[in-house]
Amino acid sequence: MQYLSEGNGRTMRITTGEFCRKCGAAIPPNSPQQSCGACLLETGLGPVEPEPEVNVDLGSSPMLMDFGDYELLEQIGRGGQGVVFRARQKSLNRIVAVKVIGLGHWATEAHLKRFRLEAEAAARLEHTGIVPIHEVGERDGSCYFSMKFVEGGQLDEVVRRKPMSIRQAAELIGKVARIVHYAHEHRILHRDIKPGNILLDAKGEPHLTDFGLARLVESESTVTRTMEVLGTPSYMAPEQAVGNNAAVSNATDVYGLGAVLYQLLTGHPPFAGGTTYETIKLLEDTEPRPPRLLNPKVDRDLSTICLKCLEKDPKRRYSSALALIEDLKHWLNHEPIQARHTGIFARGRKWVQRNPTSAVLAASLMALAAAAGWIVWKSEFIARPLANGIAVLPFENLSDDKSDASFVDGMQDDVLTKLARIADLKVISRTSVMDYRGKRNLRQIGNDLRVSHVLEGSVRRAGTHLRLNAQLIDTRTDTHVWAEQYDRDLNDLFAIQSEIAQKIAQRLNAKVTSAEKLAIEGKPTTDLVAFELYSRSLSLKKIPRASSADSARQAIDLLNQAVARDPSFFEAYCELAVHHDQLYFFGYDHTPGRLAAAEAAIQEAFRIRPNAGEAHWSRAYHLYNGYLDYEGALAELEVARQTLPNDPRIFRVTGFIQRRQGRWEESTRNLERALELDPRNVATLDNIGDSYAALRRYAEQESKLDRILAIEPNDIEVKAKRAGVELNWKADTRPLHQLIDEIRATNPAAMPKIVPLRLLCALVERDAAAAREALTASDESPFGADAVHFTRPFVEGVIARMTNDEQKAQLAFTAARAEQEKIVQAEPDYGPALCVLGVIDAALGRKDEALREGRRAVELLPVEKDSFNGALMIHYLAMIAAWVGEKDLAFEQLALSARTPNGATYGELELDPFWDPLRGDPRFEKIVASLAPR
Amino acid sequence: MRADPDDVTSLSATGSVPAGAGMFATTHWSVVLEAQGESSAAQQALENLCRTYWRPIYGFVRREGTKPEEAKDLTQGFFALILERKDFQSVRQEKGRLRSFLLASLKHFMANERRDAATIKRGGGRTLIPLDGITSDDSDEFHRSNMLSADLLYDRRWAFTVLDRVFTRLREESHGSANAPLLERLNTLLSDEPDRPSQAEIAREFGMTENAIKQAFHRLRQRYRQLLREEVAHTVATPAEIEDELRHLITALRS
Repeated sequence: MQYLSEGNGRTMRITTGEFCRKCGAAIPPNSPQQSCGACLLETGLGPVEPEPEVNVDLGSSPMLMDFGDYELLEQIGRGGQGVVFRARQKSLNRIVAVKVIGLGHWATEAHLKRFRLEAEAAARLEHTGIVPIHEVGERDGSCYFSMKFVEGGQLDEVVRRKPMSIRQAAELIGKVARIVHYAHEHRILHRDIKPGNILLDAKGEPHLTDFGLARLVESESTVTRTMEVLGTPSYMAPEQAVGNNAAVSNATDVYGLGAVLYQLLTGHPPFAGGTTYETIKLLEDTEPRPPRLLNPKVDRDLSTICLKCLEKDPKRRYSSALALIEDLKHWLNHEPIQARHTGIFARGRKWVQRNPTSAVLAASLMALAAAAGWIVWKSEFIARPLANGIAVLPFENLSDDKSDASFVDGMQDDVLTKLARIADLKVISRTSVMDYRGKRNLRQIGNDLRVSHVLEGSVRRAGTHLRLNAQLIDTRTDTHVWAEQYDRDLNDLFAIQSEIAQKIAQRLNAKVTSAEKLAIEGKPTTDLVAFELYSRSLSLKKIPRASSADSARQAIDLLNQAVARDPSFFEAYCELAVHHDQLYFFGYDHTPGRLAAAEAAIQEAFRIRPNAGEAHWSRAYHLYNGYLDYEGALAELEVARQTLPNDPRIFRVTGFIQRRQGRWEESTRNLERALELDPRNVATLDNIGDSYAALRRYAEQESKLDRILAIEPNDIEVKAKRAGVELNWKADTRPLHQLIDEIRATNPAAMPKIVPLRLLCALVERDAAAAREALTASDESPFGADAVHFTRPFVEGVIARMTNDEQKAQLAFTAARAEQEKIVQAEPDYGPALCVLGVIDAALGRKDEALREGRRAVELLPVEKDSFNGALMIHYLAMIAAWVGEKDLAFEQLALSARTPNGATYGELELDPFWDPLRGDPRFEKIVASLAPR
Repeated sequence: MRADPDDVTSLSATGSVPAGAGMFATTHWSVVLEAQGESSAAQQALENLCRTYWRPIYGFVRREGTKPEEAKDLTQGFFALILERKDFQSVRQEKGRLRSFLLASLKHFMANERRDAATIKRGGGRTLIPLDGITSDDSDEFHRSNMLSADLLYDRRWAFTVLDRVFTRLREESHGSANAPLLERLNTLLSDEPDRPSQAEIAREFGMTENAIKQAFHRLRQRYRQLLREEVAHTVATPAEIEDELRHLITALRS
């Protein structure tokens, strides 16, 4: 016992006398487990990793070959739940299959018992299509069961080798449905139908395994359900995913059949997010894309059958497997089917809302959904394993000449780029590592970026002599794995870098293909001045948001100088093309000249290295930004991805394109992948947030913005954006207003940065003075969303109208019109420019012109062509119509806008004075109500 | 549904909340934050949270120098006030964390409301929150000359409450499993102290292979991490805050 004596004669017992042997702190008497609380919590902070591989190297480890009564012969499969072996049952001397399940936590006796019951019930079924289970048990901490060995393969693997025709797919599902129906007739549910559980024998006949296995991990408390145990949720029915075990029924198995059919028809499961959480959110919130859209060869009827199985509400699916079999038979015989086609908009509503309930039940269901959502959030932490991931930290510049800084950064970039070519490695992208310049806590960095290793380096350049120190460190243990010092001539620069990259690859046991090796050994350029110029252009991208016009122009200038010096500097051309394309796409220089400059740079790139990934990447970006040629760009991106497996830009741009095409789920998946490779990339986070905003999933947008603020806590624009979300979502201006007041008081220099949001705030609060104040604070750059830009004179006109100064308003709008007309003349087929002209004309009362322009803008840029800007065209047409008094048209377009992603928001309609002409009309109120937060 | 010894009110009072899932949903701080106006689910959630985290509150009150009986009354009075005040609007302004919300409210309460003697009996004498398990050990911590500040003490007790909950849940999960004694032993390895019995020793003790022990411990540690995160999640608004909250608690324990 330790005592502390005080002056007044009292003593106080403060510890048990125990000290933590790890950190040395005293352990107080009421500590949990009599252990050091702080160390316990630190253990708790570690990553939640999946089970370490059950290492079955049968050659070396006799202990593992022997599994009780079974001799494990070879591993024949693995899934989310466990590993399957071909084995010999010693006691009966027969060949069986043994599945060993790795559970995330102990299965209790109750679980095992329930599974045994289920397995035994299934064992009583006798059907050639059901793989019988022999024994269920637990051994050495793992659950296992043995079953009949079926010579053949899992459905997904077989199909990968030999794709099946649509007809064959329908026939196969019919057969599986017959097996399922037989089980249902004996009152047994499968509960986990997916391609991994369907085996095909040599004759192609299906056999269904793992009956009732889902029971093993089911429990009354959804808390103990972890998604990793059940494997992928991509084929899971919604009632299972939310843990509503009471609602699991025959229809749940029908869903599974539909999901497998979907997979066979389209090559994808109906829902697949980047993480388990994403998948379940998609499952809850979205409808599956009709198979016909993914595979045009699938006809409407079969598509309908498939979708009927996938209805969120079990009552709307086929009532039994038999009903499904019947409709499939009709289809196979070219007869009409029973299922009814539904229109696009009929399927939109969340299934929970089909059952209007008392307030209490509704609240419980919402809480239930929230709970389900939370449970799966956990899986975000069970992301990918840390092994084989590396971050190349910024190199330290030890040269006397501090202007070498960008040169040193260029070196780091080169090593990073070389490593990133290796598909077998996960390499974190540059944007995310730059923040860690000079930071020492490697374990933290490893955790933040989810990598097992970092490369640190320092460079000292003196004249033509270069000294480079590089070390590879394991972040988990903070130990050096490799270190080397290079004392070379400057001209050997690139040789050093490729050597480092290859050594690291070796140390991390990464497979390097010969193609990758060639790519790594390539030199960017032999001209060091050119390399310096190139490095400087890269450092301009330090501002992580989409490059502003100025920095793009500067970069172009530097890069032009670089290629002037070295006309075969491949990377420089690729960068040039990107900058040109960005100036074009974001409307800063939307001219043919700019497009041509990009094209020229790309041609050069292809001339120098015709097969390089970056050239294809540049072309992809060009096709997208220059021509909105989505398919062309996606094709190029696919090629680029083969040689640039770690390049987040590819996933990012794929995501951008897909969402412009309206393929929101796939887009988000790709954006999330880009984020994984580049976790601190604020631009990606912001963009994913924008996707959510367009989909009106505001809570998720806020969470992404919060992540940005965690990385950059002082980013005023992001704070303002976040405050703006509350406005859009709930028509609540207070957060925005408070933020503006706060900035005005504490950081007035930052007021110009948030002018667009200040203006919005002033408009919705109908405060003309504040609006004017905002306008004076701004620079000349226009306001607007995406490619729709409104200029100063237009806003001046709006403010004048707010104060009923009609004369001033006319003057301002006329000036705005003159400006805009010039822009339209230069690009007469550019929807966004025409749309703005239409709005101005509406403000001026020129009804016919305004309507013509608004309609034409919608024609020129429909939603199918560009989901973001297309929605805006519709939205502004509604506004034009409202202003000129064409109410029917206005309501028609506004209703459409309210249903379209990136269209009208609740806050805007509730508060924005632009919609005043429609207020009071019941049609308007109805639309507003449809957008109100629930 | 696992039996919660503190569970006084029956869940069926809130209507047809599905068993199990409802239990979980009602202990989630973000449910409280989400609530717009009256919500029985939010009310239940807040009550359950208060039942769990009363110790740091009681500790703080005692630290102010009040005697045990008076401190108990004040604690009950404080919670009664919190639970009566259905104004979750103001709750939501307090960004994110239950821990800070309760502390801030408590300080306000101690400064202002405690003077009003009526407050102390506000609960109507009803024991809203069972204050079980106050031992004489606690008394020493509360002596004023103890070097730890009241805030720090509060945070440390909060951290201990979290850990206690996690270990209770771990124990409940393994209850009935044949492996319960093994898991009890493995629990002692969780703080990573190098001197504790090694996995090899435990393997010998239980007659299992070292590989099996390694697997078992790995699984236990993963489960521990999951439960710890869950427990912290109950008290913060978004999953993004969990790590930060854990680090805060670690800092408090290391001060």
